[in-house]
Amino acid sequence: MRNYIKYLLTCLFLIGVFSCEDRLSLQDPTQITKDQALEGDGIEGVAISMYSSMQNVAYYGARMMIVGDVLADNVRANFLSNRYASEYDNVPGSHVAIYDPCYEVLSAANNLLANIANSEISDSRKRELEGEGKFVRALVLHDLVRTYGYEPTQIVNGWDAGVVVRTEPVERPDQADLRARETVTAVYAQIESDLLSAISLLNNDNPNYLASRGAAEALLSRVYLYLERYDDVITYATDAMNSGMATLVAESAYADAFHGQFNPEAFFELIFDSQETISLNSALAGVTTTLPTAWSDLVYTDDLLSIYDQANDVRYLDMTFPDNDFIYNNKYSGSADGNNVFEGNKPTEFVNWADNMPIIRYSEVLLNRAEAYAETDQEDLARADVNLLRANRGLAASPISSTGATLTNDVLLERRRELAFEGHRWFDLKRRGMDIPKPQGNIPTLPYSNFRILGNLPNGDVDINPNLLQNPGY
Amino acid sequence: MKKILLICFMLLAALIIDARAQDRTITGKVLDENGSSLPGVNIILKGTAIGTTSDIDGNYVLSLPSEGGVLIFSFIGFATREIDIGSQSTINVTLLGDTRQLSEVVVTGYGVQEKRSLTGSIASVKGEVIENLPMQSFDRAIQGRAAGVQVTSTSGAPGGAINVRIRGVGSITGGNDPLYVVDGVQVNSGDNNTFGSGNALNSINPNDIESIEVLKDASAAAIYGAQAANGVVLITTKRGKAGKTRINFTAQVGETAPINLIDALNTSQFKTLRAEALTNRFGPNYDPDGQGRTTAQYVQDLYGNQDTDWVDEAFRNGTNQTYDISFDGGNERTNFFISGSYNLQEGIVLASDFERGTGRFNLNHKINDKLSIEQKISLARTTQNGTISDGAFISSIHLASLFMAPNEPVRDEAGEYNQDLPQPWNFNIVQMADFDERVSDNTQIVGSFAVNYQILPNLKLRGFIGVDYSGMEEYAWSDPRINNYRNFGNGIGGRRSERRRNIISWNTNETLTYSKSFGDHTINALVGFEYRQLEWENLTAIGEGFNNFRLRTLASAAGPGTAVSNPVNSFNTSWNMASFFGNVNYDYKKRYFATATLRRDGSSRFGVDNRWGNFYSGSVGWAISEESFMDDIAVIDNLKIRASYGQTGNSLLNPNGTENFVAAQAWGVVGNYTGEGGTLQNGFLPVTLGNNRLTWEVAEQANIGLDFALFGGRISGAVDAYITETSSLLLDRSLPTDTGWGSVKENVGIVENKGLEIELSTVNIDAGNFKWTTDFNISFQENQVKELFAGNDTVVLASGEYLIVGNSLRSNRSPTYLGVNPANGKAMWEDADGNITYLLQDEDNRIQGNRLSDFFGGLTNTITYKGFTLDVFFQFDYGRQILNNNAFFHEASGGYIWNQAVSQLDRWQNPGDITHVPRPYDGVAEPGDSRSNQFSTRQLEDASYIRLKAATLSYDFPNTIVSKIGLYRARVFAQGINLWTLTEYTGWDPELLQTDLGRYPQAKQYTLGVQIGL
Repeated sequence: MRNYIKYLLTCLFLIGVFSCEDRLSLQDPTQITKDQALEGDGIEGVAISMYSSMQNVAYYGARMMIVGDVLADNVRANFLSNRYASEYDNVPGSHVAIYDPCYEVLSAANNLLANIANSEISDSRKRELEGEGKFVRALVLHDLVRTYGYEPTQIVNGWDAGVVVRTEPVERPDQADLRARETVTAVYAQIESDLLSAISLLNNDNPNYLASRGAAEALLSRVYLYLERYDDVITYATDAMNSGMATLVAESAYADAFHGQFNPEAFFELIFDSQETISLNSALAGVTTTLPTAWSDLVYTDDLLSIYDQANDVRYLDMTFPDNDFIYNNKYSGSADGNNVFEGNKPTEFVNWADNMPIIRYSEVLLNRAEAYAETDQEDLARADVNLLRANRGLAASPISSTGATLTNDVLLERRRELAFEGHRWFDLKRRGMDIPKPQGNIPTLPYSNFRILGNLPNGDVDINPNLLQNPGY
Repeated sequence: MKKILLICFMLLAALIIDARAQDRTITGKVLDENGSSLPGVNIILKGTAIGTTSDIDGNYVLSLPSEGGVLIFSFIGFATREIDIGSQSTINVTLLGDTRQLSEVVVTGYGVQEKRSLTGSIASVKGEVIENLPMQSFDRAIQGRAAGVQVTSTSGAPGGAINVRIRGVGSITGGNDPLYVVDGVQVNSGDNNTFGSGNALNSINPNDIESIEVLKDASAAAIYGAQAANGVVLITTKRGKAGKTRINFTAQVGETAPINLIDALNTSQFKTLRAEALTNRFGPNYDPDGQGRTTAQYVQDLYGNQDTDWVDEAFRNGTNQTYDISFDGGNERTNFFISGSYNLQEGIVLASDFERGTGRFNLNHKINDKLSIEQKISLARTTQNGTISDGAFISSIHLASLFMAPNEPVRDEAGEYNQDLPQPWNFNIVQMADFDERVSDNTQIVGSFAVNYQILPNLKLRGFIGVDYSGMEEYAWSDPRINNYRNFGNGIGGRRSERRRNIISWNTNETLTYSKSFGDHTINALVGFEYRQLEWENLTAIGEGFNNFRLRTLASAAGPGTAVSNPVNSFNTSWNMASFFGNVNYDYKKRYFATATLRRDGSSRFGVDNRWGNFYSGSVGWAISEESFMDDIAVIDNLKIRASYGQTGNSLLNPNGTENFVAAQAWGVVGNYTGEGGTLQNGFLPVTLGNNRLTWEVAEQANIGLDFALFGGRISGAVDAYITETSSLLLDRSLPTDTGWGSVKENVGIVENKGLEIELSTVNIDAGNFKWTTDFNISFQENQVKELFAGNDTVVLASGEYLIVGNSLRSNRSPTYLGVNPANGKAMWEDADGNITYLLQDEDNRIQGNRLSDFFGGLTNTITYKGFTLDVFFQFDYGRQILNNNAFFHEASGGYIWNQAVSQLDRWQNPGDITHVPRPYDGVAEPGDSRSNQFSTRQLEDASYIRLKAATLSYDFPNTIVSKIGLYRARVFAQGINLWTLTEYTGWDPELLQTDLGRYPQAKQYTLGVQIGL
């Protein structure tokens, strides 16, 4: 009898062990392993994710395209739903705030760059993908460093902290070390090196929603402008404009450039396919227009309206429309009168609030060069660039003829008119060490020396990483 | 493998043949002290599992293997008797009523045990305590009834989700829900509703429940190993009793009503605050239309004089009704319990209700003296018409009612719904309640089957398999007639969201139990194997574009939703667990007790390096009152001390059990983009960082307890003190954002819970027809974070919550509000240096109390006089500081363009005004200052309360009358739920777990009922 019990117990135990050990190894049915992901030309998917991560509404999906205008004097919040209200009021801590999405993009770029070598694609395709990864890495690092750090030539109180730089992906918990911020100079060096490398690796065969040599040259001209290396600005702006990746459109084509499928002026734009969606709550089409059910929070300041030649400038005539006592902008509505049903600049019509985002346009590069010419006393060339732009905006009859400091101011004024509602204004004032005017809404002018010129790093990051210094004042 | 199985079956067959010999029969009759026959009495041969139960006439027949031995007669409510058989063949027994209730049997893991021999800490709630309460689930009904068990509604919506915490909160971000076992079936719990709030345990009809046992300490719970750290709740449903079939019918109807509403400003008051807010920002002549009006005139022209009380529109009184019927009966070999119920409850917010039908069939059958089978099955169908029950949504009916423009009418002059409402609260909530739908239908089956085989007189084999199936069908309908949905479907309008969710959880266990007495020693032992598997799948589909609002299924949609991401989507997850367990109970002379338990669990959830774990407990008890030296102390009926220690585990990686693959590295689809070829493609990136070393949370608990009964059972109770240290906590360690990862899940840190629990029952007056009894319980709890990541005393969770060593786990962190500066009306706070500031910085935050109770409990007074019974139950909770997040929006001095609570009329107006409400300022932030309604102690409120949770007055018609019309029982009753509340909390309902943000408040209920037994 006793033996029977023993056998029975043993049996029960064995049944359990044999039937269950294998069952405990389950794989998530919704995911795959790294090997499965990168098999064959899987690396192409990593590049796709990298571009996709830039579409985040907290980055170029919406915020980065507008917050620079709201923080400064171009765009005001009308408090209809309180979106961007505290940014407009320059409340401390309400800033550009792109830390999280930028590092997501950086991580995606690093995952791309780290896995190209072992992928099963042609060498020429490898070179191209490497160039694209470096272009994107440079773009996010520059957006980060111009948000969280001073420009190397405009340091205040010796505070030269830039941002954390990573050039390798984190693939295991032990690789997630606690890093300090590099100096702004070191960050700019990384950006410059990535862009120079991208220029050598890329060609101009890509469509403008992927990185190209022309886009890298255009971005580099912007980066050099922030560094006040004007000769280099001129070199790379000229190269970019010669690349054929973008053109300056005539005044008659100006509105269509924004409302058509692709913007011919964009060296680099983010494409939003007709199947992609952005939440109405944060989409620019929701925030800056009066489309049905849009929040309609962001409108022109009176000050910005006042600098346009309202009779002739297509940037006023085609891009503004009134509604409910406010003047709205029409760059992101996808329709001619701005308050029709959203169409989007898409081959098919979908109501999904997502619109292509022109990130570097020809006119910006032209104005980069004009500013560089003006700053290096090549005044004829500077005026020529500005007047070329004006001629294509309905202002052929009123070219500028200023000189000296006035000429620089005119270049900057033209830049403000041209790039309004594209997120540049705050950064353009800041890189030149200028105070931020707040002409409307009973908000005091923000002096350049004020701590709020720099964004605050997320407190969570500062708390967990003793090596990470918060910006002064926060 | 096949061979092993074969051998097993052969052995089993051999055992069956072997254990057939039996050689004598004992018969007899069991009576109570009045000479009435007692059916259902358990009769077993001591030290064996051989036994039977008495039939309807109290008769029994029992076959025994050999000479001698002792028979044990036990029955709930009666003192157990042991009788030497000797050479007798007829044994008639009289059982006496047991005032000390020592013979009470409680359900334990994989078995039952006499309460007197328990060495662990188990709270027991009998079915009759919660019977007929108009509550949808048993967990809601045991609130305040069991010491150490804290029950909190997470939503007041009818059938809404419930939060149950046993002995505090040990896990930081993992699950803190106990394991629920219904008749041996390990069931899924939590909120199962997408479009509203729904308790997964709603499918169990509380009236089917015989008893609820809460296994609180390690000794009681360790047999459930890695699922036991949060405690275990065992639900046992009723079984039939041998004898005449009884029919029990109950009907009750009643009303639900709001407990406490917050009043919003009327139009005139709203205009006053808006005019002040604009004047304070822009001066007295602000007219954005450029017509040169004063600010006051501009506001007057803007808002007009129409008045709507949206709060009154949003809330209502609802009805509720419940019907229950059950049949039970059987004979010595077979018994059954069959029941059905229907419940309908309308919520206090428009459009919300709960409807449920249940059916149950419990069957036990003895095939022969050795082999018996048990089958239990419960079917339930619940339908919830929900509203948004939680969160800051403009389409949340009850939340929006506080903020909607009071100057806007519900309907325009033509009688159509007014849809021209100002943003952001631009949904007409009355129209939404009328046109929209948010429906959750759940079909749930909990069933089990067991075979018991008496291998030897003292050895029993039991095979069990149980399944918990939940099929949820949900849809939300956004009606195309509502302007806000006009854009859906390329301008056609309207949206339908469908969700299907199936969860199948099944578990099987095979156990061997052995019991043996030799002399004064008794041993009960158990070994077993268990396997549990859970599969969960979701399917969602969203269609948009409905030309005709009458046709509202996906078949009529113009196409898949475009204004949403992933209009067609699915989610799958699963986990499983294999376990071996055993336990031994030993007692010596019913005086000294010891228990040891061991369980080994392997789970698919954890890292390959740390997948298996061992859990154990040991406990001892000493029944001092059984010692001879206590014989002279007559006042003491029972006195027992208990002590236990053990380790249990928690394997819930996240609160709702959906996170099952976090330990393994994985890549997945991350976004999509148009590639070189011009087509949209999916991209891949790493999505899970993984951690091969991830393993369970371990709870080490020590418990000491004292059970007592004095003065012939007039005073009885228990006191337990415990300390639990939960370590290896599953915690997301935040990684620097620059790594591209938010966090990695690791096992770190220590949280300590300690507490004292007191249960006391007294019979205050027992004078013939009049009896007054009191049941009281109180639980004191203290929680402290002892250790976090090495070298780091502070952790910020992804939710933004701060954990700081030395503080409670659910600590609040915010600045201190200093009120309003009487000179200028601005909000003041205390900065880090203790000075007044108008501009807050992160460092000004400090720990401000916590959201865990200091103590809680319940008090029941029951008075019976002849057929009347009055039952009054208070429940209380003390010491939680809760963020009233609603107040952030409705207490902003009129600085927003939306409506405010009437409390804001106390705002500062003139220098010298003493008030806590800052001056109105459009946009809420004065230049250079923080917003005046910035989160601070201004919105942190004491949510302590005492609540008259239930009061029942009933009358049982005398037996002499009811028996004449063929009934065995007739009863009428009236009851009320949540009748009265004492609290300082200013929001809707203090019974909150976390932040009060748009949370559906609980309701009052009144019902009248009748119960008939025949």
